[in-house]
Amino acid sequence: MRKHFKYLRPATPAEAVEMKASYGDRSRFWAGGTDLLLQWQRGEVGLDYCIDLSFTSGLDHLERVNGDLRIGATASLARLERAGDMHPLAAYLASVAKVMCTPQTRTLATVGGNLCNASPAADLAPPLLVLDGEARILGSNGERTVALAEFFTGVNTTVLDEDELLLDVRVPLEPARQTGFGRVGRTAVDIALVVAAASLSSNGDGKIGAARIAIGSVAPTPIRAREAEELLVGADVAELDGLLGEAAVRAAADTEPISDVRTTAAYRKEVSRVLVERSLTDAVSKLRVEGGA
Amino acid sequence: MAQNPTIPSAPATKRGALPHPEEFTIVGKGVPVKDAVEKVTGTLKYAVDFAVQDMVYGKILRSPHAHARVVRIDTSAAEALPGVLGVVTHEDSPPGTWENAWFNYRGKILDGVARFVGDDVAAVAAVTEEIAENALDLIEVEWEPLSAVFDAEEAREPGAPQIRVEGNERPAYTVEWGDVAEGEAEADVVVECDVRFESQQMASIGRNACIAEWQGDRVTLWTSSQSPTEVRDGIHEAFQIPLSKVRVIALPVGSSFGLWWSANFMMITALLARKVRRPVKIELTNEECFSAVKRRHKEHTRGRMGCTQDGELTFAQFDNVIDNGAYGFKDDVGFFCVDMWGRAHHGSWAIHGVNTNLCTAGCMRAVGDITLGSCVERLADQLAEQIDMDPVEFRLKNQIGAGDELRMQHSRMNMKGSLEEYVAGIPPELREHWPELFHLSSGGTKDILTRGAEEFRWRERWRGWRAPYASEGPKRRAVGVGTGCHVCGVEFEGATSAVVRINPDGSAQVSAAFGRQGQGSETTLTQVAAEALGIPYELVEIDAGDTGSGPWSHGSLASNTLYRIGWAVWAASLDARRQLLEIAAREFFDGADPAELDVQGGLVHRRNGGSGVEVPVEAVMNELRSDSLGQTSSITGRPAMPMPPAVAFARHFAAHFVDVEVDVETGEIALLDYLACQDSGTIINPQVMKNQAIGGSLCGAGFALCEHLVFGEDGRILNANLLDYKLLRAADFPTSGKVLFGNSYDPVGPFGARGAGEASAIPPGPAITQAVYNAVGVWIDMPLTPERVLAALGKTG
Amino acid sequence: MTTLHVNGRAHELDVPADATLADVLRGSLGLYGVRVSCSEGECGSCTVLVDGKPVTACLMLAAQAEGAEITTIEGLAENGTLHPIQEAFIEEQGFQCGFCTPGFILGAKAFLDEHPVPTEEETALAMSGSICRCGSYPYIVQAVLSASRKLSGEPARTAS
Repeated sequence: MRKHFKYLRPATPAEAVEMKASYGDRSRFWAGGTDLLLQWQRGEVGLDYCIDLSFTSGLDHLERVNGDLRIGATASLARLERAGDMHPLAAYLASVAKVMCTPQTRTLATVGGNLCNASPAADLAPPLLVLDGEARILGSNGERTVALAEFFTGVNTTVLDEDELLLDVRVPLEPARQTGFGRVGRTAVDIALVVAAASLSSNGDGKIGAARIAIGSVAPTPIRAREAEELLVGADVAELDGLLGEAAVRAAADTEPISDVRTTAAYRKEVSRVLVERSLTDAVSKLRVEGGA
Repeated sequence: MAQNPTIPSAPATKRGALPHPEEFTIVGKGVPVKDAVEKVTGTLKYAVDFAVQDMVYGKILRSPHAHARVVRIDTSAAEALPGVLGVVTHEDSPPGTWENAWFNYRGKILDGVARFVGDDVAAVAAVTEEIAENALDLIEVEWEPLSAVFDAEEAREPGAPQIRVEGNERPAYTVEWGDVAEGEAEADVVVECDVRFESQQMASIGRNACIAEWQGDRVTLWTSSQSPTEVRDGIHEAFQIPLSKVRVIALPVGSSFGLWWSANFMMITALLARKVRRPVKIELTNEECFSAVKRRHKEHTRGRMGCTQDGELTFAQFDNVIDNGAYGFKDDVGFFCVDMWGRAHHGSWAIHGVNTNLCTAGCMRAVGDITLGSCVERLADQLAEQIDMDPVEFRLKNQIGAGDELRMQHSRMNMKGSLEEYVAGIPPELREHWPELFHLSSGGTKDILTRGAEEFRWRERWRGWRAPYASEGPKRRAVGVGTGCHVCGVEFEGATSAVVRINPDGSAQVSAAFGRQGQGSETTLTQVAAEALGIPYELVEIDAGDTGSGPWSHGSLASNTLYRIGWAVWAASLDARRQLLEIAAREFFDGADPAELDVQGGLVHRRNGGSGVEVPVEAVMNELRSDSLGQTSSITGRPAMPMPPAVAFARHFAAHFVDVEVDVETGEIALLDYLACQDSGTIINPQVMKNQAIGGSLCGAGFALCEHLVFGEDGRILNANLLDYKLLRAADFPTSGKVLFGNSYDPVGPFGARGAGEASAIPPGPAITQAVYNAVGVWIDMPLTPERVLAALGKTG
Repeated sequence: MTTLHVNGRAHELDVPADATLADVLRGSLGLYGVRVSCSEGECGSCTVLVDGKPVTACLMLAAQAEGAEITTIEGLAENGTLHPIQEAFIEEQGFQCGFCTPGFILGAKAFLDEHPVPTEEETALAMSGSICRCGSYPYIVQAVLSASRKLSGEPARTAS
């Protein structure tokens, strides 16, 4: 039987949380709806109440505040795509948004939706992870902050409780951080077969101070390759080249990809190595040019 | 007038009986496309947009099993749902078996057996689509599962589950000449291949719907279709009612490529409408279009070819198994690569059509040549490499040209009587213009390969086999060439006709049964008519797809339209023109011989100067109307005889050049440059033809790079959607859209034109695969997905 | 009741809360130029403009579009005069069957509004949000480039 749902339109985040708390698992927050609508139509998600966040205040900011870039949960991918001028790290995220889905979908799809849908292939997850993003969350018990590294718990699942709403993601605008990103799709528009991101920073002493490597579409959640990261910390920026390959091999070893209708596990494992190495190489070359200024 | 009017005589020109391109004023010109405004304003109506008064909505219940028999079906709960008007099951189905063109489908409308996952089981009509959908859930079916078989070769084994009443395998279709053993002995080099092809899906964006309305014992159907008279034939066969009681209006199609000829859901719509005595519309979802109608065959090709050190092909031997799916019935497909490479001294080709419990398979753009043909191209390339010959040279040396004998002889097989009787029956005045029977009428690849290679700077970019012209980091760049040949409509299964009428005001209209699926025929056929009539293009219009006005034709399939329906339109136009000139000669030119008159731009005048008198067509028509001896107010022209039997000897050709870049670490392939060369005789509308050439290129490139249906172990299609059935996008293909036209002129086709739609889908596969081979040194089977490329390079264990 | 502003006019519609914008534009307002195909935001046929930005209407709830200015292909021509983008598509013949054409044209409008003088490469990327199964992409790209020249008042390029 074709089902229908009721539509609710909270004016504020607090009201949204109240609605969610009262309807529980029969309700969902609806941002752009680009994933949720299809999941509901296919019967993958049951839904009696749609809580539309499109008109809710306080959720669509995209701004620099103190040393952070704050991206509201309902900021669209299209707006993120155009926010590059705010800061080089914003430009990095903008360049990722630009290769996601289609221009039409980007108008509707939101940063929060991409993260809360928590597809293993979510393109924004690896870049936000390597930027040490944090999720600010509102629930019936008030606000809390969770590092994105702890946010994803499984396929399409996050740490959000039944009544919790993602408010925004905050990215520290580290001055010395250089980035890299890579993804592979089957055609110009595609869900990522593999997606990888890296960031490196130097403390001005010619050595790697911090290293972050994240890969998506290779495990139930996006992963950080921590052992690979550790290989790089303290290494000499000027003499890294062999080490990048080794780190990439280490990172790929952490992946547990599956074969599906899109591609094979073996492909994902091999190409995660390639994309990590390319992302690191990219970050290193920028580090050598820009230095740790 | 000749005692035995046969073909109306073509207007006399400086160069003989048939008009020549230099004299054209409408044909060959980039005139505006007839329905351009409707397309850019969104006002063109496809079947999904169509509605009739009082109509209700139907939905089809589909089988979850690949092979099962209905033991019991209880529709009472569905029928009791408020808003439901009625349900049909196999118990309501008429007993007739209906067939689609070219053996693409054969079955009863509903017979209580499901033969693939998604097969039609029953249908509900209700006042809204939602109620109809809900009612499906209330139909109870008790199934007896039957053994299923999903692999064509397994289905050939004795003891395999029998899918069809007629059995799983049709007799092999074979073509043989000479003695292959001799050919092998003659060869200095021999190569072989064993390739499996995945199924491509037409994936036409427009979906489809069917609306059926009975009035008394007569039925009208509106649906998107390439072949209106085939739909009518299907209804006639299934319902066993006279053809005169069936009218089909084939609406514009949101592209087709073979998907929308006649389909069982159209028959079901008619059945449901008859039962509930209301017009019914069944609209298919995208998933249904993808998985429950038709797809390209999966094929398995094994082949061997040999050549001399000088590159002369001594033999070609191929065995090709095609899986027809559940209801397909093909065995007859003439894969025209047999003709293309028919100069081989000896040949043996066999095609086996076998049923499986998968979705029905049938003709999709360039059937057989896109698959088997690509194997021939690969073996040709492997031979060429072994003798160190450039692949363009190898093709120039071996491919068919005008006047060569055609190896595909199905036309002989379908001919009644003996060949001698046949030839003796052809009037001498026609024979002088016709090509030699069973020999290629015109065209070939020589011209397009030669000029194409120059245009593409092939000699600059080709560095030899397996020699990329650039190599930087993980990227390798190399070029490739591929060719293809396909038919221009098929004869001997019924003649094609058309009707042309000149109206009292001097405008004209054409009626023909063809499809409007984006191939531009509503424009090109009108150009043909306007040129032949001498009436301005703006004053000529065409009804397409209405069996009430257009005479029988196969429709727009097998690249049939311009060549055969175009010929009929041309002949009908000449007949109308002849009648017009007879009246004009009598009424305005002092009883002159009509052969001394001509009409152009809507004005009748004497040829070769004369008094300078010009009489508008409208004035001539007015004479007709007011003529006390006149019987009608309009002139109706029709071909006096069917198209010359030489029709079966026309082919159209394509040669494509591609420049690719392969990333050997990720397996990604980028197309950097592309040149599509096409030989289709006279080009009636250049931009329409460029769209066909590039369109086919994209279809073939998709097949080469990423398109394939994925079947689960239960026979279900796992990627029946556009997220995971990948189609190429604008950024995946070079934006230059370069097309080069061949210079040839067909002695039979209207104004020298031949067919156009399919050959262009063939070369992308061979060209891209060869370019990748040149880039990375490995032959990779299609689709060249990133993981197949990496696996072939040994990067993934 | 849902109020939608479509092609310059306001409409009050009694539609289910879970109706998509595509279903409402077609079913309630008879705007068949909003062509529905994949219903999953992949093919772009149902592209409309929402406050000038391109959206696949099959993925948007009608309710989400309240308060916005919605433009469909029917709203592009003014008083029967074709928009320069529509003219450019005709001149370059950037279509075959025509099913995807409204979606491409509206996508092009949004793109050119933001990037009035795009490169060929940028255009091809921007036009990758829609699928043309007939395969007219090069001519679609040429049509968009021609439209950009028309809109910026440049003289038409002669055929090469």
